[in-house]
Amino acid sequence: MIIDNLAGCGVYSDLIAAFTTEKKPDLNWNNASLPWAPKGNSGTIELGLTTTDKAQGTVNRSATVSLNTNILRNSSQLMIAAIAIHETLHAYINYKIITGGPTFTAPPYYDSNKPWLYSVDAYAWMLGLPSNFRDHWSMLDEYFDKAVKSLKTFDNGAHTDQEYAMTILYGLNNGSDYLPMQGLINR
Amino acid sequence: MLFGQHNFMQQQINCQIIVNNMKIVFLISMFFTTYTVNAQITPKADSAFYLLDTTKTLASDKLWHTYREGLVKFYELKIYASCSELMDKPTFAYSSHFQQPAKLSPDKLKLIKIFSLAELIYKLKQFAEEDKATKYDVKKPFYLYFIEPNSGGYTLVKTQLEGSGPKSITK
Repeated sequence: MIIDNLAGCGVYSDLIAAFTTEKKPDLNWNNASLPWAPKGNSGTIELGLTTTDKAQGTVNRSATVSLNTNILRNSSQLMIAAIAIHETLHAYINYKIITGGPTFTAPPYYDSNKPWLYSVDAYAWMLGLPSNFRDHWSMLDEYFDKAVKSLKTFDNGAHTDQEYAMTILYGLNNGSDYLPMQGLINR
Repeated sequence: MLFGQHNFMQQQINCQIIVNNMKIVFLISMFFTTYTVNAQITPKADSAFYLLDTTKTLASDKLWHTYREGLVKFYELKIYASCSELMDKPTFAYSSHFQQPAKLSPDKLKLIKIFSLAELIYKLKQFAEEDKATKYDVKKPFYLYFIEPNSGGYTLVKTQLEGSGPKSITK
């Protein structure tokens, strides 16, 4: 129901447009038994995850989003919607990177007309940055406003803009990754 | 979206594949021990050969739909399975950025055993079931080698089943 309602939001529907045709790629959804041990600020909670192809040069742009079963049972609809938007962005960014990369488009690799995400991906790949970091970076830099707007539209503006921004920020820390420079982004 | 350690677990699903009007076309099958192609073969992969000749197939039997997007050519098999992502419109693809179809002489074609469409679907079903039980980071790719008529001869191209192969996770 939440996903269906989100799909009716203009900004969000743009993010899933590529996944809603009769052809591939697909965006699949399921629920899974992910870590759920809330304990103040020291607990271990995994809200959701997105699975995509690992191989370089893949033609597969489909993704599977798994939402934590306990989150679905215990969280507000607003929080679940925020998680759904976050995971959808992972799938969307993966789609954009592969579509803009050499798999789908003609060389040269670093054509300035390519989507900027391809450059980010190439940069992240060269530096060995984890894709989680790359995606969160992109979400903060390029898609944060769209995510907030999607959530506000979904919620019919029942909360303040700051509350929507705070909800979307949830999960965008990169603390689980390993580069010191990420601390700058986490602040 | 992560707070702490990750622990991925896929939903267990069972499924029934429904195939309408499925008839045997031509086809080929064989394992790599009896035929060597130029393309690289990954030991931990599953694969098959398939001859796709749409000019000799009755319109009512055309379960294959091919299309292009940029440098990528897709081969979509129009069968549906709502509870198996791999078997729901299984789609094979390759990018001409990485390979061009290779010429295949009629003599070499004779060396290849042919999968029927029914055999291919059965093999895919087996693969999908095995894939379901495999951890996300060690999943095997499934390669399908398409053989198509071309200028009086044939071409061979290696495609990968979309959704098969190892996965990465973002949170």
